Amino acid sequence: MSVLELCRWIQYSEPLVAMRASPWLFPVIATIHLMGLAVIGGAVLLVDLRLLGLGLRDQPAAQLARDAERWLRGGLMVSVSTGILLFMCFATKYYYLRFFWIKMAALLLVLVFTFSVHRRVAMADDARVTPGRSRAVALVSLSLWTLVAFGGRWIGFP
Amino acid sequence: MRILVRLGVVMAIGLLWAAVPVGAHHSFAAAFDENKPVNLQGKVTKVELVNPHAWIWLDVKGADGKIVNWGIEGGPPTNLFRNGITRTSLPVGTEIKLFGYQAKSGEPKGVGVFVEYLDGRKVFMGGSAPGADGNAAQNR
Amino acid sequence: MEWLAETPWSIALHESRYVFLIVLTIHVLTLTVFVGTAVMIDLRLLGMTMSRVPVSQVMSRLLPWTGAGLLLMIASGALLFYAAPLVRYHNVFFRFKMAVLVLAVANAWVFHRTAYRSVALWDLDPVPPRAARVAGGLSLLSWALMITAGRMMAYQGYWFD
Repeated sequence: MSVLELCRWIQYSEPLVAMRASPWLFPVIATIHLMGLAVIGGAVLLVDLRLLGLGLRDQPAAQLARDAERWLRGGLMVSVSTGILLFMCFATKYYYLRFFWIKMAALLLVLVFTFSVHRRVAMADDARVTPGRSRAVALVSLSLWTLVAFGGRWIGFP
Repeated sequence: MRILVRLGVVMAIGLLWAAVPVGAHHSFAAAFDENKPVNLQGKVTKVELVNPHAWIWLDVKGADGKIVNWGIEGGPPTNLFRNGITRTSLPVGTEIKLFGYQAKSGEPKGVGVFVEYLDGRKVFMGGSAPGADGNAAQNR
Repeated sequence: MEWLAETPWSIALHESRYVFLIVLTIHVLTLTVFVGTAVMIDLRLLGMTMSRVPVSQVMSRLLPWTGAGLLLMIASGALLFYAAPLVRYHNVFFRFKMAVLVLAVANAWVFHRTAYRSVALWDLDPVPPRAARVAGGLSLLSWALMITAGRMMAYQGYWFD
């Protein structure tokens, strides 16, 4: 079964057909997706601004990172689960849209990066990390998240 | 200052109240029904190449002989331009065919997949309808 | 407002190939900064995060970003309105969104003039006093309602007969 065929199978399965039958279900799920995005934005900015020497710069980065992580996870759970539903609803359409795939690639990259390198640097003792490294990590994180956001917004364009 | 805040709150409530009768007139036209494909043919009455969604309006003669004005939504102008529609390629009065999906509300509105000129040329409308980006494999 | 809708720049924006879409992109993406930072501040007011950070510090260090985000939201939002004033004005979700915005600003303003005045007394409390929590909660609710209304604007059939 090709990816496209899998997409079609999912899209036209009973639950998804039922989802599309409602005039308001898709918009509501899209709205919740956006709310998750806002929470992710706040959690990411809290840490990355600090790593750039901005925002809550008088606080130890590690503590901020710990505080933010549960909201990042919460936001991700909401956005990823709603995102999966949104995708399944029009899977064969998204299959053909390049910005969808760009968004997914950037999302995968940023998730891996955030929960490995970024986390290690953010949670490290302030004395042990150079400002240069903190800034680099923050910039990579912000760039990737920006790519995810733009990709998502531009899904509908060829 | 407190007065201003109170004034603001009153205005806000007023706006909310005013919104209610407006809401009664309009439905979720953009929510299309994938089980209601429509093949329309008629004369263009209006073309709105506007953001965020373009609209094409055409007078369609129904089975009963009555003329109904249909409004079909497409993608943003940038998508339509890419697909070959220009600001002058659909003059009012042009007879065209249009394939799309009707609104769930049953109104004479819907989302368009493609415009077909009488000479056979197809232009995809680049909106949210399945296949509107030109990839036909999106329909059952 | 009909006059506004007929100005050449309004029409140009409404029919633009790229500009409108760029403004819309800015509007939607900036909400991650505006609502994102506002949410973090509201969560602190609710005692749900950064409980070791003084409230006044959260305010002074994050609110400027919220403010900058708000300015961008208003600027881009005004342009989006201007692109089709009549359509927006008659959109029930737009009216609701603006009403909530007024209430959200009023809520923040009242909080800063009342409960926040005494912040020195509860600055270090992990969980702030009730008035602060109510303000934070109302604030969160207003962002949720505004995001909902903003998204739903697309779904109203907006043509007049």
